[in-house]
Amino acid sequence: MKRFQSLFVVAALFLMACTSDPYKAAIKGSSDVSQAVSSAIKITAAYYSAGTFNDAQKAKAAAVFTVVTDCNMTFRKAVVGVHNAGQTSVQAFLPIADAFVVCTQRAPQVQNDAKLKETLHAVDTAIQGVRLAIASAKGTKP
Amino acid sequence: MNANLIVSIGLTVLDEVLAMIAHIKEQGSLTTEQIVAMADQQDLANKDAIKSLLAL
Repeated sequence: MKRFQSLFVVAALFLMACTSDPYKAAIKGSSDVSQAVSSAIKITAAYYSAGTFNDAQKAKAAAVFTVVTDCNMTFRKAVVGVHNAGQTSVQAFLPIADAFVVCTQRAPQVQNDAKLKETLHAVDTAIQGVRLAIASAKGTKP
Repeated sequence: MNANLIVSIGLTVLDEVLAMIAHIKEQGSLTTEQIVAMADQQDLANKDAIKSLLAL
């Protein structure tokens, strides 16, 4: 089921990339990350209530959600700033997307926990997809 | 894990897949500024949801 979520995120990113300017692609990507985090929080709560996740896993997931949410808010603010400065090229938005990905890497790593990794998969897909969506958008030449 | 819990988790995941589809559809009819406002609200809601998750 969680793989379907990831699939929808990827499909949405490809659809937006075909039709959007880089500003809209970046904002839609950011919104997709917010939605993916929202879903992952609810799924984490359900797993914890069912005893599938323990206290440590719940805390680790919450720490990841906090870092990703903070990074996403900073990313979106920077994207709006670049847009308001009148920049319309893909190249103007890509460094912000790169900074967003680097920022989210401050979150606790979950590579060694298969259950947690799977739960956070859609969030990771949405984060990685932001850069792809911007790079595929129809921007002006710098 | 008993059957009720498995069904409960399955329904939660299904709800979230449907929420993602609704989210994608909704974005198509909004302006970029409206999507910014929606994402801002969602992030604030996520912050509250993270606090609630930690309080479980």
